[in-house]
Amino acid sequence: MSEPQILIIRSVSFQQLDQNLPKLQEAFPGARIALLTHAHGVRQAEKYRAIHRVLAYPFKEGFHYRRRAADMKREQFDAVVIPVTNLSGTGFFNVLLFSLTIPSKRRFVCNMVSDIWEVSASRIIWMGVRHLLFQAVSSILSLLLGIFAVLFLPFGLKRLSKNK
Amino acid sequence: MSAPLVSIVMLCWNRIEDVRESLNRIREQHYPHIETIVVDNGSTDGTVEMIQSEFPGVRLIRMYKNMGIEAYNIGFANARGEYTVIIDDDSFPAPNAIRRMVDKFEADERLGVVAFDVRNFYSYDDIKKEAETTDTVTNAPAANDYFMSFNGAGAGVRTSVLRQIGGYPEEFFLYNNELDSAFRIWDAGYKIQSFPDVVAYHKYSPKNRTSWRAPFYYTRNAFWTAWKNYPADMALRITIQLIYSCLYYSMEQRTTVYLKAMWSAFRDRGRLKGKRKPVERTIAEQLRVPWNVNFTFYR
Repeated sequence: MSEPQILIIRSVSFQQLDQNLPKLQEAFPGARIALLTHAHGVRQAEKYRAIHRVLAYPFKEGFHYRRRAADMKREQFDAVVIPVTNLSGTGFFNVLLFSLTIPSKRRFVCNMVSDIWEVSASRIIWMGVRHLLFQAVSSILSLLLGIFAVLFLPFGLKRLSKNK
Repeated sequence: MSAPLVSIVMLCWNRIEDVRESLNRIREQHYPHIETIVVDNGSTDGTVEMIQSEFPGVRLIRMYKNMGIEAYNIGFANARGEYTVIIDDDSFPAPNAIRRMVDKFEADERLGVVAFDVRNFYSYDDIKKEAETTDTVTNAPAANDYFMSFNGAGAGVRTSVLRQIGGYPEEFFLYNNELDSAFRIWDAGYKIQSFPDVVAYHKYSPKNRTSWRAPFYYTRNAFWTAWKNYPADMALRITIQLIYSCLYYSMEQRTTVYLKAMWSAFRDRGRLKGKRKPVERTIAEQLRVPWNVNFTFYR
């Protein structure tokens, strides 16, 4: 039987990943682990003994389902792991959604204390419904507050300038 | 020619055991010409007395209360070294880090900051490849075509650059101070580069993080960073984007901390008076700022 292929999306600092990695190795014994990271993290990622392959995310911005890494479409993983910097995983919906663009049988979240839990594709999609609701409310309120920002911020910024 | 003096500046507040360990580790540095400055932010746990008795060679500066990151600037002002190494009270450079850092600075006069590869003190040595223990490890900077900030738990800064930019933004109190400084360092014509062979250890521990301080200060200071450094049109766009994020993540995480932080940013904007200096547009566009990260520290 071939070794399980795991992909970690580096959505946290290397300090946290240093801590998560041994726990992930325990959770996926014998796995070949690949790591997807932004270009600025490639050299640091290559220092891990347990990482067999480092893949560079070809964008400056954060992971997003609209910014797909073209090379990833040809990959097939047994599991994708999304580390998160908190306990609950909130604030990482964008990365969860991005993980759906990567061919993988299963998806897992690993939190700041290395608790690991599975999150299904249907669960992510359900979270997406909630996301759309929050997005709609936030957009409407931002529009209202944004009117004040557009009207007053330029003057406010001038008042903060060094030469004033 | 003698080796240039390097000043290590540490800020501490009520972490006596971590400070003791960090100062002991600094004694293991391979680089010969180092002064260590500790700025104590009003510790009440005996840190000051411990430093005075166990580390008489350390220059200790005492604040009368916790002034946040403003106290770093006191340390920077007292630094006599050509280069300044910034660390936290629970971080320290690897034994060969300062020697390597000086080599990088000496080889490139436009290099303003050597961003250390800040690693987890508790686990990094067990999971890294062995090669790093030698000088054969790659010493090339991380390759990317955008600009980066740095981590204040381990960074070397050309002291003249630190003075030129006026140190850390004291009005921030905590968090995002490195990002604000990064704008001004790039705008002053200096580079910030991360080198994987220059390592700092940090006692990264989730237990050390309180629940509201990080999200509050990260969020408030994100607004302030945008207002201080971006050209007006970009500042406006990012402000609206941050307002949206505050609303969205307040609902997602069922907290009011982001709304409080946003309110504080607008209410206390007077603290930024005279501090706005938009950077060159190319820098504003090229510097990587992961705004969403500000909304990931709660719960």
